[in-house]
Amino acid sequence: MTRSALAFVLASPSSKLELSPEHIDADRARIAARFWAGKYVGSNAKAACVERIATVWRDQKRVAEVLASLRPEELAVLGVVKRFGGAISGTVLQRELLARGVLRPEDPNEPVRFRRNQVSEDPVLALCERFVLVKDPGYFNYASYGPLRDYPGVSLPSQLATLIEPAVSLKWKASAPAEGAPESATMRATAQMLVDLEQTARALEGQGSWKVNQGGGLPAAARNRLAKLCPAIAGDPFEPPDRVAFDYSLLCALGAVQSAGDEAWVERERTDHLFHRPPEVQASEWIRAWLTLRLWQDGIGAVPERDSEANPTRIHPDRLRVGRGLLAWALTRVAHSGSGDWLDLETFILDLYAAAGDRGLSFYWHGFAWQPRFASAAGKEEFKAGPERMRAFWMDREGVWTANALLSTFVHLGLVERGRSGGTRSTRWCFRLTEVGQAVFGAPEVQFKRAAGSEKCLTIQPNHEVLLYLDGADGEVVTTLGRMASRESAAGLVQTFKLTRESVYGALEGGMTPAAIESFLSTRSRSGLPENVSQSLAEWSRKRDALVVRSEVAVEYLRDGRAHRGQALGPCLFLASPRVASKEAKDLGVATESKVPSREWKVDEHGVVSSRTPMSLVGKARLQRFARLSDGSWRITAESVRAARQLGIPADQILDWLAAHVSHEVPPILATAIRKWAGGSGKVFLGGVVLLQVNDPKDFDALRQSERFRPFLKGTLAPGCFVVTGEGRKEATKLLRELGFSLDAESKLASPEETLGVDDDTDQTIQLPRMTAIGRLPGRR
Amino acid sequence: MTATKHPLDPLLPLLEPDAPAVLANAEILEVQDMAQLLELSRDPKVGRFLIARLSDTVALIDPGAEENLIKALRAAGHTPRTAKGMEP
Repeated sequence: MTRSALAFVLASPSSKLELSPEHIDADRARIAARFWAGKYVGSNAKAACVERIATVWRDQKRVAEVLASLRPEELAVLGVVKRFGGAISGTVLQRELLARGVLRPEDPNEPVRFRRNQVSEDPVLALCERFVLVKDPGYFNYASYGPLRDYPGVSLPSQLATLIEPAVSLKWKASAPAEGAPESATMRATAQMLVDLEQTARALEGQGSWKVNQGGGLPAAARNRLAKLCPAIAGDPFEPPDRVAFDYSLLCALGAVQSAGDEAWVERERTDHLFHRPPEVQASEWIRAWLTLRLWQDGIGAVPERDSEANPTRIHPDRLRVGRGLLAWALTRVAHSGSGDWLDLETFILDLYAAAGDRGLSFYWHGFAWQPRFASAAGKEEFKAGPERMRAFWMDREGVWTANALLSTFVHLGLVERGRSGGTRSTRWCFRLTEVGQAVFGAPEVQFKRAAGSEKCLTIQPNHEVLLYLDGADGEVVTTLGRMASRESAAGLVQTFKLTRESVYGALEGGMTPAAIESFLSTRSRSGLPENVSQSLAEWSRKRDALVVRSEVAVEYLRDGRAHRGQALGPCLFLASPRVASKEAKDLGVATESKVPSREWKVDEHGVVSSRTPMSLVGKARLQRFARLSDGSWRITAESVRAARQLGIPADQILDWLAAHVSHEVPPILATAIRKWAGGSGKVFLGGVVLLQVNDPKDFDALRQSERFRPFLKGTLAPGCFVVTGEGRKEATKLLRELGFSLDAESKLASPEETLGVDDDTDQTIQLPRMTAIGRLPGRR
Repeated sequence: MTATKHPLDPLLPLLEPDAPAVLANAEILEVQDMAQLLELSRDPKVGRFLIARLSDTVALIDPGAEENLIKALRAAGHTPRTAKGMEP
């Protein structure tokens, strides 16, 4: 049995504050300097004041003396800030001080008094004024007056923190006890969430890198792809909406997924480190991450990184963060109440409303995934304006969000157990913290009692299925099993994985050895490793070894008839390490081929390939795949290209190879022929047509528009050119003569070279006609 | 008397460069026996990434096509081991 002490879940790491004049204005510097260093007759310039404060801070004895002069309520404030790790949000600080009685609740009837020294009466602001607490940078509303102020986030400088005792934990007291144990209860093991995260990370890793939306969110298509790989429990109303997005957001917040620009990837080192930590430590990290999630919201699901007052797409992340902080704060108090009793959900939420105030948990949102019916929200419209009406509306919005966070998100994380009593119309929901939940929220005082590691939590069956018992699983077993087996079931405390040839291959390619796989399964299995499974593992490993793709080796072709270092593949061919081969090549004066091929080849329209120098090793190998040696020269022929095509080498690959080795552009007609030989189609028309060429554009237009001439026309070929029907040739001749045309002109056609260049004499010569897309002459039906 | 043609010649000719040469940083495919190389060369989806035979059990991979070959092999149900450098 080991005991695990976690850090306070809401604690933030304290930092050593560097005193700088930029942090403070001149007036406050003077007040703070007088507080820390006493009256001073010298310069009261800001820099001098800051230096005086810094001098005192370096003297722990002097600091202790100054702190001893603080009022009890001020010391209480410092104790609270110390408990929260040295930094606390203003909202939580206010509610904590109220709960401890350091501040008194707001009385709406109390008149607001304005006095010159009013700020100093408030313990928090008084400490900030004297630089005992440091306000978070940014805007703070000084217009908050009265006995109950809004506070900014504050930090306790680490130079002072060592002398402050942290405040004791607060307990939660329900306003009404729960009605005993529920009729049915549901909980998830923390390891189940661990398996989910591990599987999601593995599925993501399989994609290498992927595109992300603005803010780092996963696009819908990628989410759907992942959802198929990591299936949810169908029809579970308590399953967090967009569970894959939830997992993904957590992985991002935990640092396991990193992004830059619109690209994201899994950080394997960080992931491994995270997943190998004890489950309760991971659960604590999940809660810290959950507090910060912007792109996934409880009871809503994935949301875009976009906020709009007019058309909101999500709860504003800053408001939600405050709300999440207050819910976690309430649960820390529940964990310290120590009873482990069930809490009625509605009572707890009403108590939370009282403890956190309507301004703490406040976000206008409707339409959550789970919509519980609260008696306190029923008939909310009927209430008259006043506290009761406000509370009823709050219960219907923020209360429902709280219910979703508690009974969906936290149950999913394995921190809360959900209970249910009553029938469909009179359901009462209740909850309690699980053992891990107690440890996470009750830290550091509440410790988690965990069985020692290396627990046997697997059963391996002869059908290659592996049963994982989540109640005893730790990060190592989940991660290692995830590497070598594929998950078959996603629900329940006993999950099924399967060892397959592919899954084991993935583990072997990932760096595991066959012995390590067998050892892990044997050590963690409750019933040993079945003989046939052991044989399968050996067989799969053998099959993998039977086919090797090896890189970073050198191929030598040496004809000196001598033995060479490395592995002989034939009389002249050797395999060696690149280092050995380079040395040998240098000694023998043999050229070493670089990755970039030399462009020494020439190829003509007949497909004849020649080279001025001996062909490179790779060039020759490629050439003999698609050309034939005939009469001492290499030639690309229809037969050689078709043979290559049959071996899977397409025309584009041949052309790419040619382009890599020839010193000039591949003749277009050869490229076209290669494509045709490899199976491309390209029909052409070759035949006689009766051409009527009219050089004068006006005459051409007149004939084109003529009703009398139209019956003899098939279409136009180019400007100034008609195609006349064969059978109408005589009639057309007659008509043309009748119209005064002389038919003795010679045809004028442009040469192929002219058609390639700019031809500014198109009225005199005819460009070669172009075929239409469907292989017809223009104008022909 | 005529020389017997090697069964792999029509599918994957033996590498016969014009002159002594060394190809550094090559990628090769190693198989257990000639029958396996014959089978792989016959598969157009795999064979297209091989450019020459170095022996009955070793083939030269087209430079830069290693990843595609591994994908094709996996798609065809093979589980190739990927290795770097010479085996000790």
